[in-house]
Amino acid sequence: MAFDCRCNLTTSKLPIKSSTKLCCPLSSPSDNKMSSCSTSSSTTKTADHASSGATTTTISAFHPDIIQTHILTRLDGPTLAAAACTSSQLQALSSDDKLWQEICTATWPSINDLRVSQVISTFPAGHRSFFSDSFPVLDHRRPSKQSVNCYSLLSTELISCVDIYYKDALILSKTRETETETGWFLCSPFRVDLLDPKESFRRR
Amino acid sequence: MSSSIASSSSSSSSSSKKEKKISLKTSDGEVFEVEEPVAMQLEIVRSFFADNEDVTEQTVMPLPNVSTAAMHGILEYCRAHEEFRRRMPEAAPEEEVRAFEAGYVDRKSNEELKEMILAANYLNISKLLDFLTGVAAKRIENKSVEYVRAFFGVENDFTPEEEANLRREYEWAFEGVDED
Repeated sequence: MAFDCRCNLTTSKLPIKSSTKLCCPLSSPSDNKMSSCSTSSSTTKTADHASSGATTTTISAFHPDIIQTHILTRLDGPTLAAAACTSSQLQALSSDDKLWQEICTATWPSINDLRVSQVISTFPAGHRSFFSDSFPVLDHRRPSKQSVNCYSLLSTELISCVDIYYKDALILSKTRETETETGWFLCSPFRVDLLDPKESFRRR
Repeated sequence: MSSSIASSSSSSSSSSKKEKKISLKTSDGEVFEVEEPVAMQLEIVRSFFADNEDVTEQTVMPLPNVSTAAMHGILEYCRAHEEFRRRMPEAAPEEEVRAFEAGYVDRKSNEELKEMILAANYLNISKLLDFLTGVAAKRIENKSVEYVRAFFGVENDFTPEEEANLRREYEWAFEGVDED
């Protein structure tokens, strides 16, 4: 059995770092594959392929309209990022928050929630920031580059967005808000209950 | 028997029975005689004939933005779909359609694909445009910036610093891209 758990824990009440997103490894029962996540804030690795040449001249250049309405809307996150780096016009077109919102909600349906949207809209680049911060979480093979120091984040609340997939089918999509200031939270091991005690896990 | 799906022979007026044909002229001057139901999938043709009372069967409609090569590709697709529709008017045979479409684009280079996207957009064939742009999106998936730039046919107008900054911003996206 391989569950694919995509989780995002988003800090809110933001006066802290602008686009902080906190993702913690969740304990995983049995062999469920859970994504352990990390913040992917500012890494300072230099771009390794900054070559400028190698452009084959093309006969047919697309009209921006076609690119915007028919192609960008069909790209996944990394490809949209590549498109943004091709030219200034495409960069402008690719920065449309709607495109990133679409990609984000398709990847993590749980963020389709008013409260989460409000938090994301305060990020410097909205859904694009959210996606780029959360993207490393999607790749299970990649080891986390940084571990999260939970104590350095002074947020008053955590929002956990969890989507669990089984064989590519979404089986659970939940958003939970957890306050982080009371003694109860500060003295207990980290734990977020996604399901209420009597709630059962329905398979679709 | 109608001609086979794969064949895109155009100007074979000899085999036509009573079927009404519509003449379409491409940018390089070739005239295609196209079966009416096939031609009507081209929205630009349909509205041209719907809006102009005085056109006759002899009218040759000019399509200055479509090359002969693109027209062959467009008609191959539209003929196949007309054939599917004729055989199964209620519901298209999904698997067959998928098999046809997969084989259909496999043979097209990126340049041919792009030319056909431009033609499908101009001719206003939304089904084909959706299909081809989906294929285009798949072709640039997980590719390098250079590949995507060449595919879109856009000019790199960034300064080296701007580009370096952008690539740093999007660094997360460029690990493990495919070879061009």
